[in-house]
Amino acid sequence: MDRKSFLKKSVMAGSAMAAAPGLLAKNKMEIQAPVKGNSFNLKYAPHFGMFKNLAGDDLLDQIRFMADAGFTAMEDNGMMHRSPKRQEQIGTLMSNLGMEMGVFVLDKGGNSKNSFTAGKEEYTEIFLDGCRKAVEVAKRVNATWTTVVPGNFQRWLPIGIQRAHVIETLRKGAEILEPHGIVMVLEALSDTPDLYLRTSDQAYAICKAVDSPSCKILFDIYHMQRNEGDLIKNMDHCWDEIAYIQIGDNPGRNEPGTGEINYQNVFKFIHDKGYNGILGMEHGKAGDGKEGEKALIDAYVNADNFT
Amino acid sequence: MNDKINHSVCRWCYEDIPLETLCKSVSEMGFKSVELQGPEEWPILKKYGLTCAMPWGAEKSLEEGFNDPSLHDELVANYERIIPMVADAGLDNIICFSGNRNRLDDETGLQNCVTGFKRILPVAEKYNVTLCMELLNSKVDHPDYQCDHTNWGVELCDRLGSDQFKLLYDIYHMQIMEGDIIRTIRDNSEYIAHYHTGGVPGRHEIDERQEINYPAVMEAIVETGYTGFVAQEFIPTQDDKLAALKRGMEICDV
Repeated sequence: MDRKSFLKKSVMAGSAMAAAPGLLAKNKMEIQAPVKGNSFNLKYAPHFGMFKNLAGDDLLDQIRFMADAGFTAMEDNGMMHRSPKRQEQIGTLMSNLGMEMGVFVLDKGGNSKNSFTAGKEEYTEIFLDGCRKAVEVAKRVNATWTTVVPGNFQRWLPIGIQRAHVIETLRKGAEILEPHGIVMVLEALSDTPDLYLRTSDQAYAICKAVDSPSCKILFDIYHMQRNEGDLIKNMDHCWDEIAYIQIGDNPGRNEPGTGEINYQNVFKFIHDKGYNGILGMEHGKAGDGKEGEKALIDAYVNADNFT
Repeated sequence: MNDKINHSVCRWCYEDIPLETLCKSVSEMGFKSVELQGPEEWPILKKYGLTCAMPWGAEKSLEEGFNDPSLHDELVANYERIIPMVADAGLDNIICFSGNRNRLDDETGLQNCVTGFKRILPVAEKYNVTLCMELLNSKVDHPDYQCDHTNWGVELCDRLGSDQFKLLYDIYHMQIMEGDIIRTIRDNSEYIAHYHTGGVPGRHEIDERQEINYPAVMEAIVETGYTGFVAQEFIPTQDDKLAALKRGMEICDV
């Protein structure tokens, strides 16, 4: 048995990771956060409904609550389905409160629908139509990013052909978005094995091939922990194409601290990289009612408590 | 100490500390085992009231294992010699490895392992010693190692169909290869006989300076009804290595 050579190799590989003193395990020292006036190192973006017990059902009240709590961004997957008037109200209120708009999902009929892998003109047209509509929505809500999921595998086509179809389709979409400064962010998902885009390296290669400032990666930490693990390493590999990040602990897809991911250190890594973008809170709550909503804020104050 | 996790430590991470010094220190900390040790060390551990939760001494190397039929005669002789010694010493596991792929496909590797292990399972079953194949990452530390995914190891367990053949699930290695740790542990707990730790990335301390929330993983392990050991297998960066080790144990003592 020779673990000696292995030991040396590992020590060398890890020598750059200097000891960071002073941090305490979050489980040992939980902070009880106030409901108002928190100050975060990063732009965490809640969803509508997350604070409906504390803030009430009205969407604009919920935005005011988020701002009061200290959140400087918000994201809304279903924004394209809201009325233009509602979109404008949301956009105006958020800019008055100094909040940034996160992603909305670019509507192409559903995550698994009208898959780019097929290379079908009718599917591409549905996507491009979605791009044009997304530009209008983005203008109304002051958004920069819109989520794109390329769809399912087309099992009867060779994998390289599917990939080329995805790249060609995205290039056409980027042509529409680029003049408006809108960025589609590609999200690899773990929901079903039928979804074509599964891993961060795959998203990275596709973005490099599309080669547009309007086609970047949405790195969803929950999905990537389920599909590939090695979060910090993989984010580092893909860093120059990552424009957006989403959050969720695993298993359970709830707030940080409810699963196997040490979010405090993952956020520290993201912060140390100089990330100035948004981190969408695309997850549920472990607890119910007002207590669950307060616990969610506590979880972010704790996970954000890195030095 | 909560006594829900039995704590062990891998000897090789503290090579510059003499074994007896290490044994004395870790037994005072609350460890019950020092592991990856052979027959010569077992009596020394015993002197300090320590067991060896994961013995070694029969394998050739990580790279040369049961997926290579040309090694079977030698490996079978080694394991047949060591297994009775393990039992005599009051121990119940012995580590084993798949070996590197060397261009073998998954299926051939499985078939070769089945052929090899079937030769020693009667001895393992007779002495009630469990062969534990370690899951290792093939991306960072052990390029080309074949047992680098849980599913492959579980398939091998199923084909062998013996309680005396299980997996050593290394949390560090599997976070690098797969992620999804807690679900994998829950779904496959019946196949797992032992756990190792380590911080990701870097294989250093398992504290807040890495990406795994170890207390949550430990709670999930306890929930599966696990009664075996969890061994600390990280390379401390801080000067006081034993303090790092103690902290690692505390993090896992849920």
